Amino acid sequence: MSRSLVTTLIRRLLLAGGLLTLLNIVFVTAYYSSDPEGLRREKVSHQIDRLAEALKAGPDGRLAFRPSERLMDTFTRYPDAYAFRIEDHAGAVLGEANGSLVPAESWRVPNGPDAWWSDVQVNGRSVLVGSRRANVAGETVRIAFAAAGDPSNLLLFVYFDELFVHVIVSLLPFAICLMIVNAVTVRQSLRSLVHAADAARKAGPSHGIAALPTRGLPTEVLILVEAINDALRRLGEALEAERAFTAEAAHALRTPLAVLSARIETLPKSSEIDAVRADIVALRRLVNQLLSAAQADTLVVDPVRQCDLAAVAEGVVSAMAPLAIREGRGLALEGVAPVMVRGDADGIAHALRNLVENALRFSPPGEEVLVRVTEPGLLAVLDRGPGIPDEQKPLVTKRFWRASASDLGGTGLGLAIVQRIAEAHGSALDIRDRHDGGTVISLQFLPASSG
Amino acid sequence: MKLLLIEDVPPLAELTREALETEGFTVDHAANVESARAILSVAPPDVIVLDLGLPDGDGLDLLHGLRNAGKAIPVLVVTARAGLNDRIDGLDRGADDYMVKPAAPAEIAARCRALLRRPGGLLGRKLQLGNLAFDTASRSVTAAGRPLVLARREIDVLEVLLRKLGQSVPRRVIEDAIYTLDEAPGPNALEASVSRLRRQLADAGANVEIHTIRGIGYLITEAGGA
Repeated sequence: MSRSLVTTLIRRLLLAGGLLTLLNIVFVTAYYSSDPEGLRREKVSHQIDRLAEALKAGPDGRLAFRPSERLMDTFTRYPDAYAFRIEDHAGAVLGEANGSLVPAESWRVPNGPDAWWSDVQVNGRSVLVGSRRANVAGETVRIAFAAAGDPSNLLLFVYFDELFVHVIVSLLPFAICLMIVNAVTVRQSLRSLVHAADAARKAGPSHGIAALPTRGLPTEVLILVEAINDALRRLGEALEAERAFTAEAAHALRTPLAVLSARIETLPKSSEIDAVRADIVALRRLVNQLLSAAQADTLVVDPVRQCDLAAVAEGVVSAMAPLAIREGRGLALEGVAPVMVRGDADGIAHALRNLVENALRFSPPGEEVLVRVTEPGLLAVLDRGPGIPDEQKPLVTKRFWRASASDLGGTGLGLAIVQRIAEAHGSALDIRDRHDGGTVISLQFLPASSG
Repeated sequence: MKLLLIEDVPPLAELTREALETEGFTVDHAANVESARAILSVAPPDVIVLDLGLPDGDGLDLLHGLRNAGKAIPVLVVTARAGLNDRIDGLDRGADDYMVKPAAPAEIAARCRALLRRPGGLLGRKLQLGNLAFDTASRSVTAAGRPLVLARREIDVLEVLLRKLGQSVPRRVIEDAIYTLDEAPGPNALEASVSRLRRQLADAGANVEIHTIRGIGYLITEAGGA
């Protein structure tokens, strides 16, 4: 099963974009894993940022600490793991939680550097303490944060925060834009190719050999299409040569046969001559059927050509009725009204002649062969013959196939010719048992009105 | 009857000529377009048998020229180049009938007689089938030599069928020929006429048979399917 080039390209580009994003995540993870100390510091800094956000200037102009419940949740849930302390420039405590986690002196470095951090040993546990000077609403404050272990996975939070900032925010919009641009570019660039493919698709079995359009194709594809057009041209020439050959062969075969046929007539009548005459009739039939088969092979139905199926059937039944009567069989037509179909009147008439000939040959004497035309575009020939066993139904359209070796009347080409003509019309031979005995062979044509 | 045979293959021309002469035709032969034109200008035939593939031109062009000149001589085209489409081509360009080679000379003769039997044709005066004879001038019918009295409608039907001997005649062609514009025939009027005609022909001992081709029309043959 083939896939659309456009779809494949877009899918691959999307996949590549996705993989690159994933790679970026892996890279960021690896970067932070390689610097655990930095990450720990980042954790402290992050908490200090959150605490600073909770500092607001009151109506009296003084700073007040109004933490959200969410902010305090970490400290109330893990009192022996996290602590903080906020002092103003005079050393007054603006806010505090779990201040006893670390020794009091660990909080107090009022004149220390703007930001610092250190590890303090408390009861055999290592506690990370960090402090930073911050300026909030014109007031200088110092915010300190301490953590013993990390039961609330603050480190992970920091990591995701980093990931969010460095991957999601900075990279994802860019990646999405890139993917959209990719998809549009692929579609635009391959549009000419899609048009060429559409043109090729329209050139179905019944549309003959037409060159593919080369306008606007990129060089790489142009070379391919030109090569195909060249092959099509040669194929067309070969087909034309075959048609010409068939016509020449028809002439070359029929003329000596006509001479032979006429010469036989000059001989005195005898049973031997009658036998030879019958042989010539069989030979003539074979030559005609061979030529018909060759012509049916090269039959190309013009897609705009239309004909009246009922008129074609009327012509064929009319012309073949004398033959049917001579052979002691009946021939009838049902459903005469214009039934316009897309197709070649001569080709359809030829197919119908073969079907009727076949039906007459297999019908018992006295029985009637019925040709039926019904909307929409169905042509059927019904006989009262012995029927075709199911296992033989797929075989009867094979060339030179015969029901039995003793079936000398036929050339084994009739139904093969009909099948080929049906194919040229985008149709197929449908063979069914007639419910009350015999066979129904039908051909479905496209109604002229559709498209 | 004078017949012009235009055929370029010498043995076929010779054999066909002999056979047609045996059938009672006076045969002139032309092997190419040029000599055919010469014969047509000095001794116009009653019917032409035309082979399409000629050494110095296409038989259809000759036919086309003939029709453009207003000549209504019936032409039977005989060709070896029959394809799925050639047939229509030939008939469209003025051929009256068409046969694919190899055609038995007896059949060529039969078709030529059928062409001459058409209205305006030279054999149009007397129509014969089996022991049935129809004189188109006096509109009298005889079966086995005895006169047969038929109503006008039945005579009209019989004439149309006999003029198209060997061919199916569509019922609307028969209706057009036997009813005037004022006479709107009932749906079964033609069936009734044919049925009466059949009975009267059988009663008179005529060895002809009128076959019904359901969905098309009628066909008359000699009894016994010959």
